[in-house]
Amino acid sequence: MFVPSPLPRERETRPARQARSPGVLGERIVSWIRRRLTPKNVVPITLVWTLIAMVGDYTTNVDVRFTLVYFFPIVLGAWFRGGAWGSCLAALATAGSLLTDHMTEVSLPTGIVIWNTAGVLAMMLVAVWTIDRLKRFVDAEERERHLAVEQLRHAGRLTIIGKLAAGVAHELGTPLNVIAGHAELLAMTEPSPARITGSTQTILQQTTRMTVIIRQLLDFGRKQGGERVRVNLNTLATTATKMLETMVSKAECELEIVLASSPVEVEANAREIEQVLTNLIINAVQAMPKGGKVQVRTALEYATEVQGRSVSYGCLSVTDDGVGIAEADLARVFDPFFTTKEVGVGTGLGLSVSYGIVSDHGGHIDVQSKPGHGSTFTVRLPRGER
Amino acid sequence: MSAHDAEGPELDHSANARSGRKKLVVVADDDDSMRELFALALATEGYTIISVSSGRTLVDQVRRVLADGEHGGIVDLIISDIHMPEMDGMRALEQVRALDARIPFIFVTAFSDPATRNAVSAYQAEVIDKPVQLQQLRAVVRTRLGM
Repeated sequence: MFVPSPLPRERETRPARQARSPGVLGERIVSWIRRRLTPKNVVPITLVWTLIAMVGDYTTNVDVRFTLVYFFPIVLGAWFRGGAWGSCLAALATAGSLLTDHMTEVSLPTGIVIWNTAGVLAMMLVAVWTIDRLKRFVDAEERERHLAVEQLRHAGRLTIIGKLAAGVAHELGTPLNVIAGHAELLAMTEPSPARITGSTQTILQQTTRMTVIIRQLLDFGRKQGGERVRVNLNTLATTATKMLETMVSKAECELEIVLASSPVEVEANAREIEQVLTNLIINAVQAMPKGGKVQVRTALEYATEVQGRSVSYGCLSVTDDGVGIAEADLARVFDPFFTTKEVGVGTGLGLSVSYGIVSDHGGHIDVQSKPGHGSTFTVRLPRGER
Repeated sequence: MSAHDAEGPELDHSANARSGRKKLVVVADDDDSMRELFALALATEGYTIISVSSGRTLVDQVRRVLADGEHGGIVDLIISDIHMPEMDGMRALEQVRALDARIPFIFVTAFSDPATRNAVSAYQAEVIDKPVQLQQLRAVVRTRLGM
């Protein structure tokens, strides 16, 4: 068996463990093997190793069946079922080998028989032990990788929670400050009746403001669900825009609807998608303080490759010719509490909620914008195969 | 937006008579109710208070006072929010510092991370976290105005 030379680097980094461990040589062998074996190459290497042993057997006129019948299954057994299983197989194989020798009446001196048997058993047990350690190493690596991926996901969640917390602190901090301040004004001085009325009204207004924010937060964090049915986006766009006509015309904007010539059917929760469309139209109107045109468009989009599968989408897009979004802000528009609107106009949750809804549906929402020329938000919902 | 600008009450109190000139406090916040609260809180102190609603109008206001000699040509204190439309508080602070390196500058904000605090202190300004008690605010303002 190959014994690797001592590894100075390994000694430097883990001297204490090396010194205390009784199996210093074993440790070194395993660590040497560890650095060279990957889950990908370990099985082919085992197979090649067995093949070499077979060729060795053949050229030295030893019984090839030994390697083929005993050694190979033992190695595979140790890999797939563990060391105990492999050791049992090795013991059985040794017993089998002895029995075969006995039955074929090979007459060898007892000393040689014992020597052969012990040698064969030792060789097989070493192979089982090596394979078992390798398997454990590969399993540990795999667990570590899973853990790392899980930690990354957790970190991602924490980032979102951090952003949310910052947003909540900012959005609720101001009304809270106003409420506390007015309460202090009422408590400290002898307030005039006008002051009492003014302050209590302000307090009430601010609590309403906080309630709205909290309600939207709940919307944002709501669980996925709701009944999904076959929805024609053409019909949905028509009804949703009808409800918004007054709001749009009051803001001196014009609403244009361009529907696809054939029905654009998707599997969706109609109420939620209506909410998304409403959000996008309100945003579009607010992006045009001097008025302008909002265009709502539906379309079918074919053949986007997703993991080798072609997927078709029902598209819903809202275009305005308003102020547009600065390039630096584009990446943040879907972040919770991100808003460029004035206080009281937007909470910065509308697009986050929309993003959440569209993601729940397995779709995407994206934005294209040119400052000074307007923006287009496009929602793509997978059409499903049923 | 311009409807909010400089709409804060320029409260006429007889304090500060000793110095012969009322101290000028400029308040910048995009939230109407916060501007109103600051004005109410500081009303009894006898300062001249000018309220503005964005970083840009804050810088414009400071420039007008310093250049045109309004209110004696001196801004005594600036109280500002950080998150504001048009120009945020940090950018406004930079520009105010370019005009005058010594005006006491206080940020009142609901969310300040360590990075923001470092950036703020690099410009010789300070941060008070929301919610701020009016008594505390008055005390800080008095200290900064050297009263």
